[in-house]
Amino acid sequence: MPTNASPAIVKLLIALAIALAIGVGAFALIRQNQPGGQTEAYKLDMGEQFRIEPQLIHYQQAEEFAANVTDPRVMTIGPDDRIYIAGYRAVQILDARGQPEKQLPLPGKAPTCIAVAGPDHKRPGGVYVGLQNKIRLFTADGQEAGEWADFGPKALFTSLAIAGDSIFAADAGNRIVLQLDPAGAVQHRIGDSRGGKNAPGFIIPSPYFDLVAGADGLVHVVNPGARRVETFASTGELETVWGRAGSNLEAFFGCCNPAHLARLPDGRFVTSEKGVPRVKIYNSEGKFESVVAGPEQLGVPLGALGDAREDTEHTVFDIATDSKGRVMALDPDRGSVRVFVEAKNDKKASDAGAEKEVNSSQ
Amino acid sequence: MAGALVFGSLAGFLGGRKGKADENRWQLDPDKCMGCSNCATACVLDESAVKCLQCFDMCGYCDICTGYFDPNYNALTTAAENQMCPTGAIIRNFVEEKAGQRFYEYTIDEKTCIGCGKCVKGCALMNGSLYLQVMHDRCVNCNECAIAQSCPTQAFLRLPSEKPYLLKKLAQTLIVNKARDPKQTEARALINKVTRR
Repeated sequence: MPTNASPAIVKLLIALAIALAIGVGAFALIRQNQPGGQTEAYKLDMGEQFRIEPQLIHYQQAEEFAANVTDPRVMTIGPDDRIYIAGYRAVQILDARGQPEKQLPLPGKAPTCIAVAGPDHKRPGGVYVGLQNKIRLFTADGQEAGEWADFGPKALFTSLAIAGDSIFAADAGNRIVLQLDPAGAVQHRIGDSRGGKNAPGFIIPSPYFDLVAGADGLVHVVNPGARRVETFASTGELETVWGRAGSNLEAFFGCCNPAHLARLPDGRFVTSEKGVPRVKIYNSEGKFESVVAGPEQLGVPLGALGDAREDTEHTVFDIATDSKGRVMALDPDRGSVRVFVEAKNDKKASDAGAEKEVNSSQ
Repeated sequence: MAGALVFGSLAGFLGGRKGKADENRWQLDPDKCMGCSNCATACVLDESAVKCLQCFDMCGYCDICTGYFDPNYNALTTAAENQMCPTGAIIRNFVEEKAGQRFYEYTIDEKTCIGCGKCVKGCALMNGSLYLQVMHDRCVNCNECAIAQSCPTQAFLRLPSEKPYLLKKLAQTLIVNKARDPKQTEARALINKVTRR
């Protein structure tokens, strides 16, 4: 400022500066008091969990087909890569290309899990559907074959898996895995901390408790409250454990994850998480490898993460794999099965992503 | 004359009944609330009448509570930078260690809570046991509730003054089942305060 400026100009400038400061302050206050103009401190920022580095996404969606059943909840893959989806009052069977083949009727209770017997089972192709504390049976050609209902009122079956003649049932209500014979009789109780087989016990804060069983006689069970996968011998001895809690991509998010588990033909694991929906691949020893799809690829917008409304809460994608290594994700909101295939290399995945963006912008 | 008196009495009685039935209170439906944080700023009171509540029957008592910890926490400690709540209104107390995991109880310090709903959104990522309610020891029951006006999901409604609270539908199912046991006096008392759906 020139030293010879008149006092009137100096006073005017000071007055202008004060007026400007008052104006800015008033604007900030008004903004803060307006709905939608709150401080950042009140907003839940899930941006870091939402965004996934494109080079970590090794899969791309190849196709999507209608589940063809109301309120689809759970899914499994059966012989000949048929897709079995249980929903409101029905099990829909689709062929490997997604074409509807047959529907099996279910009673009113919402299905909670489903499994189909392989060729080495006593009832090859038999369908087993968990209806809370019961298991309903169908023959391979879709005829009703009875119901197992003697598991007590507290039982809540959330996953079924079949290996050989054994049926493994994850019971979230009693925090136990039951090994059943083909007649439904309990052979072993797996994961009981009182059983003296090194099992620490399952922690199940919400009704997501999944498992897969392999021909090798091992059962891989999610311990969601511990955010890890525990591998048991079919007789109940704890063999190995993998997975850790955390909010970064390699770990399992929140209080209880993964919500769902599947296994690829080469022995790698596929996990599906709730809260921040993401489907990921871990190698056979549990080391993080890549992402199949994150929230963005699954069509869940950033603003939907943590939306507490009844009709938007808990979009959880059940997953299954087929003999070709395709990863299927059951989308409950869109009522569809989304099929993901592994890209040949990282460049192809990113190219596919770029091409998809171009297509969607046209 | 006697007929006029009887008619007047009846009219007065019915009028009085109508007046009493109209004493409704503002409340928000937790199943429609998206946790937008308008409740913290739109209320005519300096400190909002809306507060967060905990439904213990839905809570997992988890070590990593997504309603308590910021999603980008540095450590699982009670340090302010790890907490999600902007006012530190959630109290975390160790309960027990079981199956190699530590369990904690999360309670709301009502005096410190400003009703922003940030924890409600965080909790909705997992179990959804935290929810907002208009507290009627604070609410002045304006004719035109400023929060209801600004609610983006029209979650506000009027409830009878004798039962001015709502539970999430899932919580209601759990607590109604629990209240069938005569020993569950707290659950029975809670059910008596809420309008059932």
